[in-house]
Amino acid sequence: MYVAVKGGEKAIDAAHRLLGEERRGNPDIPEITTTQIGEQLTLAVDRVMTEGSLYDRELAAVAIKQARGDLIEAIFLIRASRTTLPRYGYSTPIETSDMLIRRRISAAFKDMPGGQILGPTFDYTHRLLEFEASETPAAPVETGPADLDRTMPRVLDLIGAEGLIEAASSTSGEPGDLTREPLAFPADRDLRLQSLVRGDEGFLLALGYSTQRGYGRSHPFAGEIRYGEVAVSFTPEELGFEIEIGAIDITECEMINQFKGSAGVPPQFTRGYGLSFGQCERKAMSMALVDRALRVRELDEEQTAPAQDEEFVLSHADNVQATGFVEHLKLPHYVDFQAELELLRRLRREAQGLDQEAAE
Amino acid sequence: MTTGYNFAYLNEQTKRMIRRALLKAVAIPGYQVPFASREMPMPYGWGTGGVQVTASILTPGDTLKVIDQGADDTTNAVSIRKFFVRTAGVATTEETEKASIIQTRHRVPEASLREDQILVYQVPIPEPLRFLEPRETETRKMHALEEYGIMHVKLYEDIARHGHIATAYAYPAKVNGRYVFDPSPIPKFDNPKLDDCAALQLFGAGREKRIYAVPPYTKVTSLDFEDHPFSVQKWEEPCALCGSTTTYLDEIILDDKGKRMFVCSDTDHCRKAQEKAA
Amino acid sequence: MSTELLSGFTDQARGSAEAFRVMLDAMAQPGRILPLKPDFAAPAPLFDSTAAICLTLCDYDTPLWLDDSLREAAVIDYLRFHTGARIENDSSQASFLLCTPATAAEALARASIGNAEYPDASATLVIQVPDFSGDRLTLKGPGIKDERAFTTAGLDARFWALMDENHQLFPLGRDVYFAAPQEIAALPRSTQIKREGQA
Repeated sequence: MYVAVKGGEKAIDAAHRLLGEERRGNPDIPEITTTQIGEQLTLAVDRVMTEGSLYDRELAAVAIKQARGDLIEAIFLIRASRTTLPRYGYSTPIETSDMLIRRRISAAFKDMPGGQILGPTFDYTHRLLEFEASETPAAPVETGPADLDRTMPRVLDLIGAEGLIEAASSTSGEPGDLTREPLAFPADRDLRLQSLVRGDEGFLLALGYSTQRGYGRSHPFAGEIRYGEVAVSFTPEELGFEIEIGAIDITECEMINQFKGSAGVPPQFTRGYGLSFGQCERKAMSMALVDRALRVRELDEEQTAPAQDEEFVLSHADNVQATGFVEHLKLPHYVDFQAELELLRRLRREAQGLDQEAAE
Repeated sequence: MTTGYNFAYLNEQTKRMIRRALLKAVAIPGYQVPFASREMPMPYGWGTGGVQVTASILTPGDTLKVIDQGADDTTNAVSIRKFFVRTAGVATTEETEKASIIQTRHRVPEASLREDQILVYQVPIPEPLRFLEPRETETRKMHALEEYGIMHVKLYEDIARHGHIATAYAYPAKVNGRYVFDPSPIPKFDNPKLDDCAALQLFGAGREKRIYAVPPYTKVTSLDFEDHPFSVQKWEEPCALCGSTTTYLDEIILDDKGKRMFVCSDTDHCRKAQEKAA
Repeated sequence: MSTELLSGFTDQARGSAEAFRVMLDAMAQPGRILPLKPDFAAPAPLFDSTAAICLTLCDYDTPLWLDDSLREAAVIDYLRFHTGARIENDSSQASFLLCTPATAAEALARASIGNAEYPDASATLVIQVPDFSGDRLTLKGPGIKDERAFTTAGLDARFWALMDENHQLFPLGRDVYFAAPQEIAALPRSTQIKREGQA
């Protein structure tokens, strides 16, 4: 006698217990702490904060540990937590020109005021596994005279004076917020940028790469990449004046792109903009490429490539949405599958019937 | 009940936004109202739209039933039911007749619903035209102009090719003579239950950020052609457990020799029928 | 701000949930008169029922317009404090319009109807009526099995003519709540309204 499957609740509880065990691993090995994650897996923390849309190193570290190192799962944990937080208001725009610089490079100029500052980067490391290094504490690094004033002008502002590059657009009015209003198309650049910051690094990397290979080519130069600390300020309604409430680490990338000009505009350089929390340099650069690609409408260019297709890019950039929908295929679909089976059997039966008729 | 979160998890601001969308959805039957769907503590695609709708209409006095594929004991139904027990402390039931709110994925209960019940559907892709035209800017225009030609062409091509409309689930229908809508991936077997239903039907698509509704006693017409009228699935054998010949059946594979049986997908309805017979 | 500000729902989450269910049922079953008695007292001339609707639906995303008879300092302070909604002077810009039978026709005429692509971008009116007696109407449409009889007080022929036009605009149009002190009913744009004596 067949008995319908039961015990979903017990199975779920057991699965959660197993997950806990797997997360902990061998109990003879010391448990990793969230402080260690926060201090030593900093780039993972930075990515989780950026795509999770929440600047909180401790929460990001907790999420990474809970997610067993699965960063998209960690981003999801942060997003779900973020959405329950009360919203007190909006900070005033951060001023990246006043950044306390830790790294700042330009590929467009050999040198410029403030100079090239490599800072902490993988760029020139030889990718050789260092079995010993991880155990050895590094010697403290000489970072130059302590009184060096590390605020420095932005490279694109330096060439902007000559009129060779479009002015940074300053659309008046409040920027939109896609976490509060559903995204509608066509989307303005403020919402596109917000969507890209939250977007999946891998997806944007691939799209940015595709523009370099000719799918929406925009001849990019890395005008400037800077990473460091900026102050965050807020104007409480009851005070009526701005107060500094803290500082955050961010990475900013400004791409310089070729533009042939249009009927009303002479040839000039245009901009692509990327921004991330922490040091997500690959993300900021990819974002800048895709931002520029998405400006086809505004710059009156022909839309030919996937990276230029706003609905395509913005509708699929969010990895929390994407992973949910891809993975939902794990849920039972047997009712619909039954409907398809029934249809397919009927169509085949009829097709065979017709063939027989034809043969007779 | 877990404290630390608001009643039914969502904060009040979010609920207000969803409630406004729900009222517009009811006032414009079948029209997809955009709403600022929130990240929920469960993945997109796993019922976040339905959960947000349920959380926004739930009151402490409600009795909630959650089904997936017609069954109360499927894992995701269990998980969602548990979520509302933890965050809202509401009573739950597996009996359709005792529920004031029923959240469902992929099925409409076999028992007819009443005026004092609300059916909440989880919706993956709310736009019926999406697979014919992927662009939201275009499909929005088509709805505005009531221009549903591409849908009729698609259905007619099916007939030309297969002799049938080859859509077995998520079968498009017209609501109140105006909007073509997606009844969610329910088998077309369930489409007739939506028509003139006494209960309010609410549809939530979390990832796609849309809410829509079919008010009670509203005309829901499955699209068809005069010479190819809409028809539903039929089985050649009755439910192996309760003997029903009028319900939607699941196929169960019993061994690797092709032996199979058919049983009701609505587990509550099937159990009641078996009890009645005993 | 007035010295004594009256309170809102004792328990906001539960109070607003219960109020919303009444409002949802009313909108889903046009013309059905349902009790809406929140556990607080609103400042006159605002009805408790009207206040419950505002406290459940309005916030800083929904500009609110009030007719002159409701534009009392106590009412404005109360709504501002409990909802955070901006009080709008131009009725065509408001998401919610609070009015009385004398101003209902004018408010209805000016309220936003949405647009073809976004018919939901339209206004909702809350009309305070003394009770549900008076004009006899017959309703048809979604939410109504066959037909439903409906009565409401104090609204003139011009208002009902505009309501008829409103229905003709479907899917565009405004949606209306009628609020008696402790009861509400709704007429969404989808409802066809026949007045007594009309063909």
